[in-house]
Amino acid sequence: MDTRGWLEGAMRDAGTNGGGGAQAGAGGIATGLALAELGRAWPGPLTATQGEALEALCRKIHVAKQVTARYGPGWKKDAAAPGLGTLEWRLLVVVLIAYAAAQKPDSEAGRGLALKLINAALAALDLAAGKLDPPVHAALGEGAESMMRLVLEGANA
Amino acid sequence: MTAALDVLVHEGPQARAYLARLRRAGVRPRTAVVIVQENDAATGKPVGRLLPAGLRLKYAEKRQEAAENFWPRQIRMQHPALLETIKRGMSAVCEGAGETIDAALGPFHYEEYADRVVRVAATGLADERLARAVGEVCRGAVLFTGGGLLRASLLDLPGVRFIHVHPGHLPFVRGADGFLWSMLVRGRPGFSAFYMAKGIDTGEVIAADDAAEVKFDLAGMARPDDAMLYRALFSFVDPLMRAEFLATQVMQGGADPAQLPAAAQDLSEGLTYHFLHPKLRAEALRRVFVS
Repeated sequence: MDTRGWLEGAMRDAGTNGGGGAQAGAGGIATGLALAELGRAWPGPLTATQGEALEALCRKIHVAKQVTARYGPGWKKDAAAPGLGTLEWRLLVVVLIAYAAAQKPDSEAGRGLALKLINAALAALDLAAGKLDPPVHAALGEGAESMMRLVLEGANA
Repeated sequence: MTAALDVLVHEGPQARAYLARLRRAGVRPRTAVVIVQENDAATGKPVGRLLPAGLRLKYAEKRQEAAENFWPRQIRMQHPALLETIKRGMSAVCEGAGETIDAALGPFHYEEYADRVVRVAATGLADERLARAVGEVCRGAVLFTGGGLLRASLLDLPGVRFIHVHPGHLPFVRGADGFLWSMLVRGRPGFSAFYMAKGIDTGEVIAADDAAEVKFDLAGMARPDDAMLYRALFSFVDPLMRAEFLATQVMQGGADPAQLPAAAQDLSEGLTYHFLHPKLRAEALRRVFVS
């Protein structure tokens, strides 16, 4: 799987603002910008702020079960924020898969983080159903499952 | 022997496994505070609202008992071979596994497992009536048996420390689906007992360890679907292993469980996991239930 190619493609299509048009208020967070920053920082290492962003995105996917285009300081919910757009959803899933690919699967910590990010990518795809073009959605799903198998096989090797 | 331990009972397989295993270990809690959900779990509507208060509590408790033990009993009825396989497998890692499972599946009289039983009608863990009751009748260590997130109204009660057994070896595995994440990431289950604090799985750790590997060979039977295997895991395997950990790593030795040596966690270590997506859950279940 050409992770770098996927990431570069998603970032190119999304543009410098990560595909989002939402402006964050003072101290707030524009999700598209955060994703673009994570994309530029790949494969890491991440700063503390970037790591927090990745963690927060996983929480939004799994706990809030929605990801919006804008958050308050500290990734607090912004009730008026719109949902992610198509390009942001694609970039989100690609970023999660890309950072999963960047982990070392022969270490427990690496394997754990890789699987955590793949788990988030799969859940994000469920949330993004209907928001992504079906061929794009299917390709991202295959990519996530392919990465899952690679990590799990690495664990068993 | 009456132990310096109270139990906050959320009806279901976990509370029953704890109490049955503690009894086997000769440990009898002082007080069991049994939460009786006064609203129907599915509809949210009050149960038996036309009944007088005393009868309403009894009726609510009966309905709760049936609801919270529904899946274990369904598995016994619909998948007896699966249950027998689990009993056999668990007997190798949990003392008296078969007896514990049978006790938990049957009618369960809390009065047989604790010196005193106090039933509290409540809407859930956040209900102030529950905090009031626990504050009045509990002191020292209180075993948490599930039912949601513990709120400040309970955590902040003076003179009370809640003990939780988490199905993950802290600090490596925090959060949800700890048993299955442990199988995926570490290749074996792990458990930790800690004094509960604000934040998920962040409290001071009393004991944390990897557990014996468990696998259940389903050869020769039609493999139940993943939803049923997941229910079987949380009806029997997870509760028994947590109970075993409690009995052998926390309550052994007879020391006051409210005053056990416990170490603060380095919260920068380890990962917090979330509930497994069905595709990853399938991989994890295949590592536990082998066909």
